[in-house]
Amino acid sequence: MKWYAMVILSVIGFTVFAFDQESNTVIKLTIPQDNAEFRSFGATDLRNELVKNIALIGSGHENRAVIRKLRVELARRGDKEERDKLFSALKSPILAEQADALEDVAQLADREAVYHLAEMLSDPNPGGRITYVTQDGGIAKSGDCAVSPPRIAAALKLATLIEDPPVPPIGADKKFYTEEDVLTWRRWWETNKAKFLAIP
Amino acid sequence: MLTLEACGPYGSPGNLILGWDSSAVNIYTAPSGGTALTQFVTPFHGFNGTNLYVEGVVPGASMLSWVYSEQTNCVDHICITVVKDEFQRDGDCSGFDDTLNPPWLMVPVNATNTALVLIYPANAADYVNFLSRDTGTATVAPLTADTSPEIVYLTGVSHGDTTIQSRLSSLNYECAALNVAVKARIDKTIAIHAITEENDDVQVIPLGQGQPNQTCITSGTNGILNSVTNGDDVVVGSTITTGPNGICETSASGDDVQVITVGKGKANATCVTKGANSFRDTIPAGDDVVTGDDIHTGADGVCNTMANAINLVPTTCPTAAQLQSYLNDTIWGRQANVYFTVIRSDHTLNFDLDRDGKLDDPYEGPPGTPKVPLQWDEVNAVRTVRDTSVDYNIFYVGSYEYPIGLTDSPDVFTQGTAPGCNSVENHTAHEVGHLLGIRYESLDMKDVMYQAGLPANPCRVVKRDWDTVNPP
Repeated sequence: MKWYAMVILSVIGFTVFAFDQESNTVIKLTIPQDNAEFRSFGATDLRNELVKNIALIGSGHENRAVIRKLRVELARRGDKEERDKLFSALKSPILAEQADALEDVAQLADREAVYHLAEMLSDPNPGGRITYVTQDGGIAKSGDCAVSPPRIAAALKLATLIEDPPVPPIGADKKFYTEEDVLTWRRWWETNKAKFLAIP
Repeated sequence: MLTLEACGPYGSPGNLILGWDSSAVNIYTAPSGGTALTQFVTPFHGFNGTNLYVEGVVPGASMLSWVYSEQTNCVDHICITVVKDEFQRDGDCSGFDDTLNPPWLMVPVNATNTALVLIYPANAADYVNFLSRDTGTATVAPLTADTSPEIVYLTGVSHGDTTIQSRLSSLNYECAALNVAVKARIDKTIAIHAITEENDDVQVIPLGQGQPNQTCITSGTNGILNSVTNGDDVVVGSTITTGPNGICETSASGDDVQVITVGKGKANATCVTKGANSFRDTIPAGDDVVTGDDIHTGADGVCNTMANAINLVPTTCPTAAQLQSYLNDTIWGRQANVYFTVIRSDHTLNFDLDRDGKLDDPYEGPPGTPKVPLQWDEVNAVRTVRDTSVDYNIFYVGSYEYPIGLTDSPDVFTQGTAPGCNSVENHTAHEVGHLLGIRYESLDMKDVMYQAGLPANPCRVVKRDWDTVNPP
């Protein structure tokens, strides 16, 4: 039997426990603070604001950063449509979109987000110079801007989400991640996946 | 709106005629416009007055005449001034995006940015007012123009967007608009590093020579040395050795035995060894061969390989102060309210593991040749000196494999510049844009995010960029 509870509210944010009674292990998630800008917004306000901003797309006056933040905020609040969009963007063949999705999903910082990030640990995509959608709707490739293989990016995100991670996050004692680190994370996931399977 | 009236004896003959210069103004019967009139002629009899609508075509003064055809000296002259004003950038790369209509200006919270308002004709400046639609977001000064071009000062109050309007004081009508994006300040830290590739191999045998004093010729069965030495070869007892240059230059005579062929040295002697960094930095040349960490002379016994003992020093690493100033005063601070503290620490490393003189790109070689599997070893050798206390690290090397650099956030690996391209500061500012989340390239050659390095050092940051690097 698994249960799930928010227990600590601290200056840096929430900590969430995913607890498995059978194995008696606890996996803690560190959740970043919510977006102060949207604190006074209800879900309907957020949706209306999103619709308003999306309507500007194509005019040049749209603010894509706002659109992205609104989507993440809605997803954080459980909006299924936006959550599904984010999770499916993790599989986007357009590297820029996939990289954005990895960052956005990490901001959700809940069990389902961990599940989807951890599943990316087996993604064979090599990363590389980004492809992106141009303003006229075409696909172009950057000559100098690359993203790491999604499995490495996912491992790095997990290291910031999971307390006591199997590989420490980037810091003084860990300068960068390698494929070996990803393998360590995959082994961790194989051991702990069951705790995250019962997605609410 | 123009109201025309006429009065005179009832039933008078003739027409009322409005005359105008159609190159200066258009006249319509409806406020919404439609098809402009080509003439306006109406019989005096039955005319009860009308409203027409005047649209300026070109700025300046123009005269309308309202004439009664039966008494041409009975004429009213209506002086019209067509006023045009527009917002323009106050200098290049000033956070002004004129690719959009209306244009946008980035304004920092609690600070001021400026734009110019050009008013035509200039003597109409006094009639032009400025208004912020939301003074809780941004304020504008002055409120009335005094000259043309007028400098308007936009001060950010709180983050968000608003619009500044210019209006004619006599009309509640917007002549021009400027959208304003008010951005809160963001501070980031960057560590830049000049990374020197360390090459310290040792030349054991000089280039073109062999191992010194090796037996070149021995006496034959008669026990007498019959050969006469040549070059620096030396007689030692009943043998001739190669002498200091290690090359056998003497031909055997009589029954003497030629141990080393003339012109060659002792085969497989150690020619080059690794230095203090315990890594062989040299690629063998000629028939020289790699044996362990050494390079041997090969079958010809001649050292054909020059030991690589010259460090590869990056030549285009900016100073921390230069880069910080450029990022803050010209590009991201000035135009997006994102400021940087830049520090610099240099390192000498042994990253050139394939000895090609370049830092290898992990993803691909020349365009269209992806690396399978990915090659991280060289980049990771550089990453060992990453400063994890800062937001971003930028590593400058002497030569980067393709094309001149790579941003793989939070790192940049680059050779800094290339002939005919932009300055190292401008190139770095472009890469910093990618570090800040810009995952696209611009196709406009004025933009700092232009897809290639231009010697003009394009520096413009447009709305799309500042929204990305400084999100709400």
